[in-house]
Amino acid sequence: MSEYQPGYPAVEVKNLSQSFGDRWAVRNASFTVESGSLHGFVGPNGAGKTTTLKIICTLLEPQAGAIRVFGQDVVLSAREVRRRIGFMPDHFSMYRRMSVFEYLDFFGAAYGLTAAQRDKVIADVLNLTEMHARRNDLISGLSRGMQQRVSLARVLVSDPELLLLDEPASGLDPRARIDLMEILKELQRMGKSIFISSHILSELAELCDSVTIIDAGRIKYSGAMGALLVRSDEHPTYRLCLAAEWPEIERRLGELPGVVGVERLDGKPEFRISFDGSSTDTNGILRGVLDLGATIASFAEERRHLNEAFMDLTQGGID
Amino acid sequence: MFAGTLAMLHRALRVDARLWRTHVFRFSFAFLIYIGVWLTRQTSFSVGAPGLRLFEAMTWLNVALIVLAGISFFATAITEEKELETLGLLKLAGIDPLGILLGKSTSRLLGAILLLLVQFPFILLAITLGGVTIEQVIAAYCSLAAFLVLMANLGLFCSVAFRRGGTASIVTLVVLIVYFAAPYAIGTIKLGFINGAVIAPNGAIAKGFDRAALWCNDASLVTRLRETMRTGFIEQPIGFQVLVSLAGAAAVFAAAWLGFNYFTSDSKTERRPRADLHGRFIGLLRRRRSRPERRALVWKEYQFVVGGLPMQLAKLLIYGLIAAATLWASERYYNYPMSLAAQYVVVGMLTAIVLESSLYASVIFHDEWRDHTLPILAMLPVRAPAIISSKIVGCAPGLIPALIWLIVGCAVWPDGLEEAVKFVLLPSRWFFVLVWLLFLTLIAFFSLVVRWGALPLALLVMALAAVVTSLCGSPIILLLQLVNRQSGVAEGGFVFVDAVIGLLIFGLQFDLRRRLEIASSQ
Repeated sequence: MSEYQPGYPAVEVKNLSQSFGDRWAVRNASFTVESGSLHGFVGPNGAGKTTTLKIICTLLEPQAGAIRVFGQDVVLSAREVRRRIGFMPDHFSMYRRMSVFEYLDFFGAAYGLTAAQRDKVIADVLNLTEMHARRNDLISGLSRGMQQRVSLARVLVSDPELLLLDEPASGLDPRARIDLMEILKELQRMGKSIFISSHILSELAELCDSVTIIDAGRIKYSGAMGALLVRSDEHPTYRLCLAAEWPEIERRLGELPGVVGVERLDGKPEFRISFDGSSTDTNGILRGVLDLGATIASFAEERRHLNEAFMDLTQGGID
Repeated sequence: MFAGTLAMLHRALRVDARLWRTHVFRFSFAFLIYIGVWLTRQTSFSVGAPGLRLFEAMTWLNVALIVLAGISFFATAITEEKELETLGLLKLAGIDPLGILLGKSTSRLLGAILLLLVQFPFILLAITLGGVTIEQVIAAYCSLAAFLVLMANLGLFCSVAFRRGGTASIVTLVVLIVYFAAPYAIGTIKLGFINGAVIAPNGAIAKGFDRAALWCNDASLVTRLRETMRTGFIEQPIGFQVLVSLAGAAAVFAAAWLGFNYFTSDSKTERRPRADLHGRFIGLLRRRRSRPERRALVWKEYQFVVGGLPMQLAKLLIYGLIAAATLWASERYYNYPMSLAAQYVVVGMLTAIVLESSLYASVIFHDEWRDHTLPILAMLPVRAPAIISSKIVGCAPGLIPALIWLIVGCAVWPDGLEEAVKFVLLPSRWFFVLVWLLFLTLIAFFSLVVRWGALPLALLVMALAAVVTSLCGSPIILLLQLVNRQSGVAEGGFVFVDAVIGLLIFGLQFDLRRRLEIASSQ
């Protein structure tokens, strides 16, 4: 049996393969989720996300490959791994006849917490998920968003180091979704590692430090979110927005040192400026524009949207 | 209307054709027919009227299958749409209630009628073998077809009226028991009333009871089939039973149609917690359920499947009242000796234990599947066998109220203690306990394999197993015969039979763990 050693990544997947009949769900997938990070897991429907998640959380035994959670093998040390992770499936897994408190109390007891420990931890998680006022309500009477909060609270009762969340924002209204994302950020600040599978790319881009993109069972990208969103294969690009039009500004910008292209956007005083990759003198640009007497409204590096990156890397879109 | 109905019918036929269990069921049925034909051929040299024997066996097998289909296949026609929350979509698609009812029931009825039709050539073989006439065969199959239509529509009505498939199945079963037992029950009630001097023996009320009992008897499938199998049967194939069954089927179909919108309105179909004595009564007293301790899974099953202490007390009271009423009525109205009345109590409580335990076995995994909680249950740091054993331990106290009154019944019955001791000492009695445990294990096993109908499926498998073992002249039957002659020898033989059943249970229990893991990962 493998022993836990500190300093290991939260999740380490090496050459994972899984098939159902003659259909490959995951093929030779490898990626790493660093400890303490908020890692997104993105892919079209049927890409292999849920299968990978189920393997990581020990519900499914891998056919090939090695999967470690904080250094512990998910097959050899399944029980130890279960103690350290909290899994939230993509559908509501609730005992609807229990009250919120009974539901959390049951899971706390199942994880071996004493009544006093449970009282404290349940109060904490209900405060965190802002469900304290509904602690005695029957789960069947809660809205979808509230049930999702209770589900998250259930995951947190055992104080796991790693949270595995499968489509946690699916079916939630915008407000519930924003609230959920805030809670996840707070959990990350508390030191939890979070592995989140989601379809909502815009929110993942804001939320996650790193991301893995999977398509047809193969990993297309795994690494830092920033590196994915920067247009690394092209010239570094910045977007300059002026407060007002300025005579011959487009030509003058093109004459500044290091600039290889200027493109006016939608007829407004807004320009996409491309630099020669070897010399990106943003200070020089700003200085040059100010010397011309123009007023700068905004100036920022232009990044790709996660949607674009996703579409580039995968064959299809999100269903 | 018909476009939607045909679309639903088409879908149902395609889905049925893709399901492996449809083909397994049909194959099993064909297998039974072949066994019956083979056995008839084997015994034709030594037994008279072999054709009649084949005909009888096939007819009663059909009755059993139609009953099972009624409480499972037909009683879940609409409830499965309610449980999957897809009934609203069908309504939104513009299919009216009649279209939904026809679309959901026709495919099932067609499938069942098809099973009746395919066996017809084999039954004609019975005529060749001798002992039965074509008139008898046609009359019996008309009766069976009419009974099938009645069961299909009764099941359909229950599936419209109730939200859960389990409830619809149980109500269908209860109505069916009333249908079969009515002639005897009416006679027994009349006798009780006469003995208790409530009614005059030859008065108008007594005659009314007689007429009702006679009417129920004539309308009963059992009576009609017995008549049909009688030598020299020359009546019309469409008898009173056929007409009553078809009229009854039309009436319940009309009720299902007229009540469809009421029973399937949002307020009736939305998922609510089951009737919960704790919530209704103890909640009023502002008392709380006990909190889970170290064995949290046991606590969950006890509180939410068994119903906790309030349900236990309620059952203790209800069973007590039933036992007391049985003892009192037996003495007051029937002049039965106390020993006989106590036997009724014992049989009643044993029935309650079997029914309750079957119900628990059918819901312990099904409810987890329905609430999508199997994955989070499997994720607990507990091994799968511990989950299964916790569920059993949690449900076992639910049988205590019936067990208490069973012990009381045994105490009142002079031979009760002796009979109870036999269940501990004699392998021939262990056989019954083991068959019961095998049945419970099968229910739990099937509830992890099929979405609906684990209990009827387990019943079917047990019935098929009983038919196959008895048809093949199994050692079990021989041993049972031996037990009557020289019990000492037979008991030794039963140890072997018990061991085989025990091994079967062990194997199924072992596979339950694997099934639980598979179901959790799906």
